[in-house]
Amino acid sequence: MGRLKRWADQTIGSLLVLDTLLTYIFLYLPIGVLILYSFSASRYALVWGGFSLDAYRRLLTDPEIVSALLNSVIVATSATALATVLGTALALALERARIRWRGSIEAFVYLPIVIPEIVMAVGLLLFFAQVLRPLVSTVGLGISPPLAVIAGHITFSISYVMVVVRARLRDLDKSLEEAALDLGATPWQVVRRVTLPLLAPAIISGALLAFTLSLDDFYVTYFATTGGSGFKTLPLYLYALQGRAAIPPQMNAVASLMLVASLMLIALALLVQRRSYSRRA
Amino acid sequence: MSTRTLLWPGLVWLLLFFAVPVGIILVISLGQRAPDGTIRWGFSLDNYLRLLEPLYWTGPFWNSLGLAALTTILCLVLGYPVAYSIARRSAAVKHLLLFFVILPFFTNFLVRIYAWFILLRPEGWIAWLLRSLGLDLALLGSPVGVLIGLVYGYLPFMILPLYATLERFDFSLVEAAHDLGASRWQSFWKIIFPLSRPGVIAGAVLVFVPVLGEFITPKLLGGGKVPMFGVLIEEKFLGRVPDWPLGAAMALALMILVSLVLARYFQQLKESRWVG
Amino acid sequence: MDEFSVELHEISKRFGQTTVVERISLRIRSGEFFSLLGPSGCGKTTTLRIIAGFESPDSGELLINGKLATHTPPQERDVNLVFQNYALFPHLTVEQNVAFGLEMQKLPRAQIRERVGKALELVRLSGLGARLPHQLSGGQQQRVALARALVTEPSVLLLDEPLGALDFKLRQEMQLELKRLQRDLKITFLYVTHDQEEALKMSDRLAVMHQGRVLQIGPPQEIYERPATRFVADFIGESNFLEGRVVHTAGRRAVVQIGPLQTNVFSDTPLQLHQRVTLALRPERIQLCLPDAGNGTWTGLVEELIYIGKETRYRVRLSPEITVTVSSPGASNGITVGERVGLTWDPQSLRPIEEYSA
Repeated sequence: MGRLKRWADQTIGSLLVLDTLLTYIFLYLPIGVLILYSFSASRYALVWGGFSLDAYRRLLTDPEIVSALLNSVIVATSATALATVLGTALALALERARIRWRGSIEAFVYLPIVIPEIVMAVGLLLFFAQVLRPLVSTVGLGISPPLAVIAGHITFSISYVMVVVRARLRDLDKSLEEAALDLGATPWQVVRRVTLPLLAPAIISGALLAFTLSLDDFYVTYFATTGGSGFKTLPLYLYALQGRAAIPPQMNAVASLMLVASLMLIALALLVQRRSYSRRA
Repeated sequence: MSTRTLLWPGLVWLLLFFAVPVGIILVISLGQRAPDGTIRWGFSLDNYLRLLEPLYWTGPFWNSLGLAALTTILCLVLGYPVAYSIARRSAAVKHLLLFFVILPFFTNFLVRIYAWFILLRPEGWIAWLLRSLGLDLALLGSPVGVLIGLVYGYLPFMILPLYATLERFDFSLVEAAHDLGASRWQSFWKIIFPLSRPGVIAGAVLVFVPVLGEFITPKLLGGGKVPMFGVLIEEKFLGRVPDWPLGAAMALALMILVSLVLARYFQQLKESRWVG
Repeated sequence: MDEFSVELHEISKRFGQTTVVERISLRIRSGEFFSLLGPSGCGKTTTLRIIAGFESPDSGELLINGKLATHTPPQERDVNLVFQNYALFPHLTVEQNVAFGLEMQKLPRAQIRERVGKALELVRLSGLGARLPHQLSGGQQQRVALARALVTEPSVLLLDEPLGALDFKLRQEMQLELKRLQRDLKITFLYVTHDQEEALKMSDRLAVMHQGRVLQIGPPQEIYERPATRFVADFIGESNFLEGRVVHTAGRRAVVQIGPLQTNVFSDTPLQLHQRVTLALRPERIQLCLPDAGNGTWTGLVEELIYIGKETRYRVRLSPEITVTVSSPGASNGITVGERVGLTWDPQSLRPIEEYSA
């Protein structure tokens, strides 16, 4: 090997390391800034004013943030619950039953994942404004903004839950279900006693994914709550801050706390997964 | 009763809250905006023809497409070496490194954009660093700021599929290439990159498609001065002068554009299956 | 009790373009140990899955205990399957696995506990009931699978290569144990394997399958001693094949010319004069003797000699075109490569066979 070639090879190697390092710095720069500024004493989120825990103290007493956080959790919990049931059922049907037009149905249920979310958000806005609300009001009922938001979140979460559960279902040894049938279980008993328990880790992963997506969602929530209803989830609250003269430092505290909460959720998920892996091994 | 029954609840839900709404977008896009801002139902392609006007088309179209393409390329350039480095580590280190790629995305994305707000503002460190290098770039309220925000927001969508293909990659092929006298540079371009094409394509689609519909990053980091499809759509629905039929036409045009990209993607996927 | 546990009449099954099972007919007697033997892809597992109810045949009829069961769902069939990979429920303990079938029958708790205990005792696993499957060795998992399938007392037990994943020693042990269980319980065993030794050792009768068809059915000795086709002769044990032409006949005796050599053949069905015929001769049925001894012996040159412990194998060239393999027990007794040797055999072990071409 020539000296030039060797030199070039070594350079490529160091460039690789450098690029990786820079990318990680790029990824963590904003996070670092967030956490740093959450300990700022300044009354403005974007200005450093010395160390203090004021932001965290204010966070607990700011009714707007607390109610937004609460709304987010309520929406995410209810949307996740229903989407997990519907998505798991869909995965079971698509993977285990004989279905006509399977190809078209599959393509259709994947669509909510692949099309830009803003299109879905616009569709839901029009659907609620032009069809559902007028329809429901003729029988003297109304659709409250939280209901509309939950319905929207369920819609995109179903597909994600289905993808996660289905992937696991595909890897699941089919002979386990056959063994259950062979031992006299009816198809329903097989699902309840064998398939679902074995799918539990995937269902939990799917639910966690749906929960995260719902907590983070902006587009669908934003479009589904138009009309100045005043119902705000955390992302909506954060978005509304842009119009203000000064962004309150509580925002940084919320962000830091969310990071910590997510870390705990992930640790929990990993724990569940590890337990199920050791069972399967 | 059989497992087939399980199909219905989910399917009906998606038909009602997804298929029907998309159908309504189509119906409304064929109508007109009445002077009082409400919808006048109709059946005309006027809104689609209006999309061809420079005001709606040229600016937002090229901005969206250009920014989406640039974001994709930058994500690939930044993300490939990272995915490659991770894939070559031992199992324990791999998972840790991958975890640290995803971790920042567990805080709300609006918050992350605000963090960039802090970083990119004129009196911030980055602007100061650039100024001292003799570069006086406006970062906030410019396409550069939007681009940084987009790359930041979508980088994991590139890294994850790339990692997934590279992780399964048989690196003894590279050893074989070295053994046959190839340099690292040559073995990368002749062996690794072609064989990781499915991951590259998947990553590109996962970045390109959602960026086309982005509205929040350009709105916050572009300060409304960088028009993209998403921004325009939002304006037509929730802005001061709403025009729902035109907005509906835009949303549908976006969906068609995305479908074309996806159709091309699946075709590519079929063609490159033999290497996967 | 019916005379036959399982009857298959002209069963066929296609997957897409390929026919996996072609017009198979079998009658398995009650209480018998019956094996389906064949190389992988011969259709034996599909046949088993048709009997279990996981595949439905495209044509033909299946009877279980004399009752038509072609389209009965698997949970209603009085047959249980021991899966190749055991298919133990990983989330249930050994006891819960074994109890599964009884719980499906909605038996009272006390009775379930008692029968599970007995079943575990039967397979010598008492005391391991609280473990999860992954905490057991391969052999123990195999026993749990057996107990789970036997506890509901099916009239037929189907076994799909149940010992395939075990190492040699354990496999030998389990073969004896399966045989013991079958004798004690008097349940019909239908056993699928690709291991000819296993099939010969364990079965009362066996069917040799190839490319979706049954080639020969019979007790082990008959299959080994009187293979009907070239495939059976080659797949079960080992055979030299000699091709020749009948030059003289006298009742059941015929003289066959093989190249420059001649030999006497005794056949069940008389051979025709001038007929082309293939003869099978097992290597272990040939004895070495002095060269040029005449009297129906052949003489050839030892070309190759391999000592493999319990026997020595020779390749002997008889003419430029003809070589045969000979195996004789023990070491070579001074015979070396390049030496001339004589070959002799009992004419009864030289079998004319059908040429089977699929």
